Amino acid sequence: MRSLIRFGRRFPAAVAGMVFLFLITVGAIAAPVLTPYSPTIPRIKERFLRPNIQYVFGTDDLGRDLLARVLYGGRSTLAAGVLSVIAAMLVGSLIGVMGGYVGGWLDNALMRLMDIMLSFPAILLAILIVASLRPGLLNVVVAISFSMVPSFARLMRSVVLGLVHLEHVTAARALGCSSSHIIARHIVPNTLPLVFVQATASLAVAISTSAALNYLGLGVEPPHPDWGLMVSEGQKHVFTAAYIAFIPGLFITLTVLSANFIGDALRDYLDPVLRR
Amino acid sequence: MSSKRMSNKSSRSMLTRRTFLRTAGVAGAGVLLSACAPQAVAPAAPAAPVATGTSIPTQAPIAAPVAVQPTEAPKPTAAAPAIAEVKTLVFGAESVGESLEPGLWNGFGCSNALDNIYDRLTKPGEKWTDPAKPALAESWEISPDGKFYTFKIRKGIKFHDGTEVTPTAIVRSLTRMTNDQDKSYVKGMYMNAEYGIANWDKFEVVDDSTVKLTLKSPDAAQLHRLFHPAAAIMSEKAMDEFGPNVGLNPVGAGPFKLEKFVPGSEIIMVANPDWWQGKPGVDRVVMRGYPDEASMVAAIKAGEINFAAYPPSSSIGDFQRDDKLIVKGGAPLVNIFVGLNRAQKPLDNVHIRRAINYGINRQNIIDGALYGLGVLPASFIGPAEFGYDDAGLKISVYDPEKAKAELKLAAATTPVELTFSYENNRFWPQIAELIKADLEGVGFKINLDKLDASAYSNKVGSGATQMNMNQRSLWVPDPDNKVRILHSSQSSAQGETGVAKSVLAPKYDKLLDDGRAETDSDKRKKIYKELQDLILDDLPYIILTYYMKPYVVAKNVKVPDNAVNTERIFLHGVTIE
Repeated sequence: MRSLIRFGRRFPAAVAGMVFLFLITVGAIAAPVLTPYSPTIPRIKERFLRPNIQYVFGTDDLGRDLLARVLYGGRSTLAAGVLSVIAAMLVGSLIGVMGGYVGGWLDNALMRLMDIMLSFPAILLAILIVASLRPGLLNVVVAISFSMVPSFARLMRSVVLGLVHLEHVTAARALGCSSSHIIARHIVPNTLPLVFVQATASLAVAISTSAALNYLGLGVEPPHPDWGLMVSEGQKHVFTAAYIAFIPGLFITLTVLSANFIGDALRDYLDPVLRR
Repeated sequence: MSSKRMSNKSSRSMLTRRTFLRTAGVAGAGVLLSACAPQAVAPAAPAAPVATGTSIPTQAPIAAPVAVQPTEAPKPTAAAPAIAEVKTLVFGAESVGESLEPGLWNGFGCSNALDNIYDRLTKPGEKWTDPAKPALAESWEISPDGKFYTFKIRKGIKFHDGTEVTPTAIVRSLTRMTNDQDKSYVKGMYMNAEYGIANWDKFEVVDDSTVKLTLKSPDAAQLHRLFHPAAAIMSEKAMDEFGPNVGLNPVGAGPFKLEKFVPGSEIIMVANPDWWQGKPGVDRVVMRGYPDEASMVAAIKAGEINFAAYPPSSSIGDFQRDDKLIVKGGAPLVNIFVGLNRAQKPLDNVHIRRAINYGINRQNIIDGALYGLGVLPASFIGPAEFGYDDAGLKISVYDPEKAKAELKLAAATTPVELTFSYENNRFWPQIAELIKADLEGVGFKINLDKLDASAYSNKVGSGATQMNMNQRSLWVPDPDNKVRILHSSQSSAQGETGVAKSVLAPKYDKLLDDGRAETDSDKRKKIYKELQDLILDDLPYIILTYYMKPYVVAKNVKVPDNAVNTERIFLHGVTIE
């Protein structure tokens, strides 16, 4: 508890970020309770209402409540971000551990594969994947995680390479422990802090990539809201009703910023050199 | 076992990152070199692989002699004519097209330039739907059976390259698209049956001032068809010189000469001082394409363009409030409709199609997606056109109860699932979302399938869509033109409705042919009334609205009333004060 307070003192921005992410997550999950309006059904008579008491964020070009759309839209944005980071973390770590621990030709083959993947700009790779599969939330997750696998694999491999030569691993091997036991008990636990830092930092990238893909129309199916999609829909009205694009854009910015603050703080906090 | 393998790792690794990169680099360079090889002489590395890809330079991005001038700075300062003697009209449109080939005319972009560079045998009357008036043809005679047209050609008119407009040039211009022996042959859209050329039997030179057209069957719209954008008359010299590339180097006899053409982005034209109808009102016309709606709006607001053809509907209200701009035009002439492809189940069931018809709230679409720029529709022929019949106003209505009743008659298990394909640009997504909400309210389940423009037209063309959405304009003021394209079994666009292969196809064909051949306007109206009744009963598509397309000009630009006719814009009468 005391260390938590100390953490808060040292990284106030990260705490603010955590609070914001928590609120957004709760808002997204509890959207049906928080707003009486549907995010998809158009009500033409109520279109282009500026933010007011009834519609806190106003309504869009088809008369849909922007607050409802932001809340429901958070679902797809956050889900795409979190799921793709988890998927990339699992796959990337597996590749990294295999490469680092087994070594030899397997390591070479895996790492060259990662090189090829890294040589494409991440967003381009993601666009390519979504365009060749079909637009949709699941494919966005696949695309983003695919483009983030190499960074996890690289990180994991470098950590594992350092760990396999440490005494406690050698000792375990001398005792006759199996490879799977050594990996699960002696190697992976030691990599976790770094992987978590990487995961938080990647979350920001994943959310902005998912927003970008949705902005390009490669994400969720239109009547369903998504922040990136809302920005692209609102962009048409930027001269007449700028708030339609501005509000979802603000939420993307704040969410990405929050994730970045948390990632930075975690890295500093877990860095043994800085800690002392 | 593992310790040994690990210690070997660094010393024995077969493929390090560096060697991998080196090998890949060498291999890549090799591939590049081999791609350049057939180009031989010039080792100009970056350009070579691109050039090898295109075999025949039909769409070569550089226009030979016309485009030689270096990129000269565009003149956006049209708002200040006091300084410049040169009066420049900067014309903004959604696109300017990739080619100025009349035969490849496809209804987008380039047609605005085609209409002003080329002249045609006939021209529209004072009002768009009036009978056609003489242009390059001075006068004509039509045989009593309506099959023979004899045109007297106006003497002494010259093309932009100085050669004379001769009967041979006219005959060649209008037949080269059907004659693959012609040097300038291109296989274009204008050949398609729905444009009437399929009905031509012979087109021949009689003497040095007369040409004669022989039809297979009479065509009430023939004189109108001769001022279609694709019926352009071009210089014989240019046809010989440029062959199939004549579209990049157009030489016509129209009011403006081409000065520079950058395919896809800009067309610069200068006034033709010797035009037979007199010198045009402006000296220069710069046409620019604005594929992005927001950038077009920004350009209009900034005064960068002083004539905007069809800016986005969402900004029209804003332009109306702007006292530097004038919003004009907008006759309800563009049909927006949802095609129901009956080749795909369950749309073969007429009750399902009727349920869709009654299930769509058209007023919502007009207000919501088109910003009020539309009129509630009757049938396919609009109120500003020949043959309009208002009986359809009672059928093309929103009636959810009737829609549910029709679904019951169809004995379908609800929700009826349908896929709705549409283009992912302009107002199409909004319309689709509104339709989805309406139809899901009466017992459908609509899957939205938004596609980019080319993917959409491929999918519709191949007949793979269920519901699709499109618009049809009146390029020629005669109903046959756009009705034929949707219902004729000979039409090139059959994927939208699938009517061509249905049992009703002969019935549609007969009405279309009768309507085209009938020259008595009362009898012709009756035929089109019958056709519209058939359409409303059969519902091959759902007409959503007659859409109005206004244009926006700067305050000092004066546009005569008959200069703009929905898609056709004739700029010779436009002046800048």
